[in-house]
Amino acid sequence: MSEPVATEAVHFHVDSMPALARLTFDPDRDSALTRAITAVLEAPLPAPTVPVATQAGGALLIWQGPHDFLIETPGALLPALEQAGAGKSALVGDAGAGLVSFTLSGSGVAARLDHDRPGSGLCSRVTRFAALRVTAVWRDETVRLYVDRSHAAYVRQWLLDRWDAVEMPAS
Amino acid sequence: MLRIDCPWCGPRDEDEFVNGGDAHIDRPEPPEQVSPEDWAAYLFFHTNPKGVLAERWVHSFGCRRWFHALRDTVSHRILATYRPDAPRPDGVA
Amino acid sequence: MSGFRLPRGGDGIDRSQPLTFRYNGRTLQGFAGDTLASALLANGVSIVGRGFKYHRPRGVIGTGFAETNALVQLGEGAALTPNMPATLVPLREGLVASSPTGWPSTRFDLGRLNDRLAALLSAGFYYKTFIWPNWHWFEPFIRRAAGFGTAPALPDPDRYEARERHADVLVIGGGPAGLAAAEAAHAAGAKVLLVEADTRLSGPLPPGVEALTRTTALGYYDANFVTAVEEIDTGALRQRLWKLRAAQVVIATGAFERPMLFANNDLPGVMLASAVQTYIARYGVAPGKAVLFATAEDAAYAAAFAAQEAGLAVRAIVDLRPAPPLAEQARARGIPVHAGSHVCAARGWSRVRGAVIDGPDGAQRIGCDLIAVSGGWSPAVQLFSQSGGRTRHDPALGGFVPDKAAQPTHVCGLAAGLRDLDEAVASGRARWLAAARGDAPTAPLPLAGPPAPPLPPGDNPKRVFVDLQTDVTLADLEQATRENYRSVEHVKRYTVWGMGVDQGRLSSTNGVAALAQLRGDDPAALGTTKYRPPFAPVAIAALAADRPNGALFRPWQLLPAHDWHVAQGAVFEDFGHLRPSHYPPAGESMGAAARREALAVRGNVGIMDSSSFGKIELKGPEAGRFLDLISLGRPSTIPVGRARYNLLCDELGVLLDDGVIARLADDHFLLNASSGHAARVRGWIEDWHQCQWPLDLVTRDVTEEWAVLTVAGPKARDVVRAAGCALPPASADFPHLSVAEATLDGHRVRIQRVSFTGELSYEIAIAAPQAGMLADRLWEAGQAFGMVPFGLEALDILRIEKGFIHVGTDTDGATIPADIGWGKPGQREGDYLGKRSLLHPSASKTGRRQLVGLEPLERQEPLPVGAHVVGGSPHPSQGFVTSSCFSPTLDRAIALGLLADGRQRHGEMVDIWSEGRAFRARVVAPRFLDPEGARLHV
Repeated sequence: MSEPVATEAVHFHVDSMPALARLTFDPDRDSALTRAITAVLEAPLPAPTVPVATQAGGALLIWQGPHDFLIETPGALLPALEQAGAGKSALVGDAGAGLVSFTLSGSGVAARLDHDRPGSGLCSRVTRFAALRVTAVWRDETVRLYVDRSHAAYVRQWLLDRWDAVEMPAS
Repeated sequence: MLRIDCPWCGPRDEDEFVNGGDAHIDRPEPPEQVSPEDWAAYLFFHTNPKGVLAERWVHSFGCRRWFHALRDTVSHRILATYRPDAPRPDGVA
Repeated sequence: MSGFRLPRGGDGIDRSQPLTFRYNGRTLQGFAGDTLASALLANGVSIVGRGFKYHRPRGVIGTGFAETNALVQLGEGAALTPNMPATLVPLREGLVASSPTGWPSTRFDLGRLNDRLAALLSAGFYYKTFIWPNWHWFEPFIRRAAGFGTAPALPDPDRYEARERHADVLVIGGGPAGLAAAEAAHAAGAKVLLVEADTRLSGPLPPGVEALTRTTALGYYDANFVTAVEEIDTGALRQRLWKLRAAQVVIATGAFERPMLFANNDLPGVMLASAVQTYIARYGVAPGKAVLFATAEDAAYAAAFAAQEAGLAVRAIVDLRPAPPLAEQARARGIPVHAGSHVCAARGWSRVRGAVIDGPDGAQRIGCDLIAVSGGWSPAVQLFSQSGGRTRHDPALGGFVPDKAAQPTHVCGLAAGLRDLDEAVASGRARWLAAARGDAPTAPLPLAGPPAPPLPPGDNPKRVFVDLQTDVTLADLEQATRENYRSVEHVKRYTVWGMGVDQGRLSSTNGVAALAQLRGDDPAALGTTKYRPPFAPVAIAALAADRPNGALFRPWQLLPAHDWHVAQGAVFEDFGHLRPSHYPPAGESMGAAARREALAVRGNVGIMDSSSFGKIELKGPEAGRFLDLISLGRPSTIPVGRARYNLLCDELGVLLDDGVIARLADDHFLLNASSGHAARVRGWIEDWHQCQWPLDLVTRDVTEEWAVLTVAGPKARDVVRAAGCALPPASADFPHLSVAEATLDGHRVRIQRVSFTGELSYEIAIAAPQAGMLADRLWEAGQAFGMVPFGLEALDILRIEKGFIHVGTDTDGATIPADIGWGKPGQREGDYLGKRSLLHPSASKTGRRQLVGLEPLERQEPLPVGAHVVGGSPHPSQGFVTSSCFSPTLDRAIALGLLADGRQRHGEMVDIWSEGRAFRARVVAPRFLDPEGARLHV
């Protein structure tokens, strides 16, 4: 009736310098700033109902809060956003410097995290994991957790001990 | 374990949030004109209703936004959550 | 009673799989499918425990959760598990169990002497007896005589895990009603999860429904949150904690049969009638040879007929009802039926030998070795009650039934008070349809069931047991009533009725009925005590399954340059981050290392990791104004490229944190928070910005993105330049408290000239992934200047020498800025957090504890932190030592402290006391070295 323990494998690999930008601004305060930023992004901002969106150039926009956004593989967006935010109430920076990415896969992932998953396919959620605040991005059967750099060693140990997870070489 | 409906993120387990005490306690200002009684009331003297309480929560493990909730202190049932700049939904002043 | 295995039968056991186990040192046999209890009965074990107080012998009374007596200790050593009801332990090969009570053995227990002392051991005896001359004398004996077993002394060696599951409908209970509800819910399109504590369901699992067997629902909490524990029992995993959330919960937990109240109703051989039937049918065990049935309803007759068919001699059926409908059928089978009669007493010393009954034909004694009682059925309302639901007393049922649900909870089947199987199934379906429509939980369906038996007049209330597990008798309830305990909650705590491992499952309703009768009250008026989780005993490790033990208990953090510190031989201490406390070469003590490192910083240069300090960026046209509102100073007046020491207070004016604010641009600030308060300051800023002053700025915590290494000492500038970081040649162009961007090897760095050591000092920030590279660069460059790494112990010495405080160490929950020498209260114009409190007279009164320095008379002996300055009145303590060290630079011990009116008392000698030791010290200004700060401005 209950899944046998042995078949629920979880694999993970760690990337310590993910290409990520962060953007902090209030989209409702300064419409000119909002226009400038959405022009750079060439996409509408993600929102709680659509927390993750693939942007025209291939970057992934992730909602972290009404004023907080994460951008996966920003490429040239990062300097363009810095420029758009110059002199304004906007902060742009390299989030990858402060985060580590854990990519989880295997049949055990769904069994343990499905209750948290906001939908099928590509979706994201900022949530509590191993007593920490993490940003999770689901793609089909894998999930990527962005964890604060200082906590990465703890999360790695946690996965090995608590989930019997198997670590794979970094991608 | 309460289930709390963050106005931005939707329903989440209580352990994603931190409680911030009573809501709608207006800060008296400017300081030079505030009587000691009013300042003491602001700091210390809050109602402790058996029934619906308006209180503050912050979604620490999510969007990190503050919001308000109406919670029944007897049944623990959360009747409503609303943004900090929104009026109290039950119309109580 | 002496049980035995029947030659045939037992649909739950597999006679082709014999198992061997040990109980109280004896090796015994059983079969796969047995519980430990059924196997013990099959082996003729009649005494399985001793009562809590009187140490009377006890035998198995029921099955499943309905067992109060057969508590065992399982296993040995680290795997020792106490408090297990033997009826819930599946038998396995090699199982080791013992009964926890009885010395020298359960069968022959000297503790039985307590039975003679019953008068001294009545309810609440420990408030009244064994007090004079000193209750401590009696305590060890009482403690040893009471209790149900030994707690394990070794850590739990097993693995546990936690899982979460959300469902549309959670059905608790896999009996007929639960299965019907699950099937109906699934047919209506719901995602259904069913949990059942037993190893099997009562019927086939409806397709599409997920079920967890061996899963006991333990607690029903807010918002339909239910916890359950699943027995896994493989080597890899012992139990799994389920955290379940469902839109609708269906409770189909059945009912507990009630024992009957008569004298000596605790003897081995008195069992629940349904349990006798189950042992025969499921386990192929006869609990005795000659059985008397005592009942007031029809179900027990089926048990009597089954017993007869299995070969037991059914001596009689004693029925409270004057005209039992099934009496003719029983008599036709040769079973005497005594209508309108009841059992007065059981007879026997260590087990049942007979029963005394009374009725229209007068009193008579009937020989038997098993008395099967059925005092009615009490719906299992524990989980419903935990959910906040209210119950009501049903006189027809003689028990409490669910009445008003507090959450989306539906109760069906026996748990709702229904008796008939068809009705139970129908109620399961009806319940689900109601739930599927989203109906509010309705009143339960109409009840059926015979009248409950009235309390028979006991012939010795001291021997009529209401709660078998806690040895609470009718006499105890009488005493509680006489002493005017009115509420059932008070009676419970006074008599300990219902406080055993079984949580009153078999004693709750009988106790309420007895109290009602004693008082001439209606049981409905008394109600039951509130049921609380857990429903059944659970290992603490299972409840803690999602909170890891040991090293993973709390998330720890590493500094970005952690590996570099390890290579340098750092000894780490856990401050949330693992931070180097000192770097001892082999054999050096911590104190010696700290002093050596501190001297090196004062004389040459040192390198320290400052990455754990909080870094919060604030940007926008109103960033300065916002900072002014939350700060004691005026950050909006900091020039671009400069930094300033800043204080944050709460609304009481109490110091929250200190730190440096650097101005990166007109609209861009960087706030540095102390490591210990970084998270709190971040939350503080977000709170006031979001809720009180939503000004035009944004804030972001960037602590994780930057690694910061501090180079401190007279040679610091030389080192930074040698590392390839271009600083302006003249100190005046980059004075103390400045900030600038620079590059190092093509990497962007930010340099703050800020000092916590009192020496020339540069904090160099680089993107965290480059921490190791920066450390290597600075270290290489620093070798020519005698650079050493220094840790928190050395830093403590250096900052104490300068009188630089730690908020939270040198300040407490009452310390305001003026107490540490920062301005007059309320001096600054404009509103800011805490200002109104600082304008209050209490902020300026005399007697406030103020920051001082202390020089102990004994130059070589540091004062203990926390030592009190004593003497004077009204209060014997005038203050205390907050930080203390031996200063190698000054070659003497020094300390900081908070002392009443300290600033007026410089030069005074004071007495200091700590844990029996006395000291003398001189009060001085809190700055021992370079008070003008000349060394900062080189």
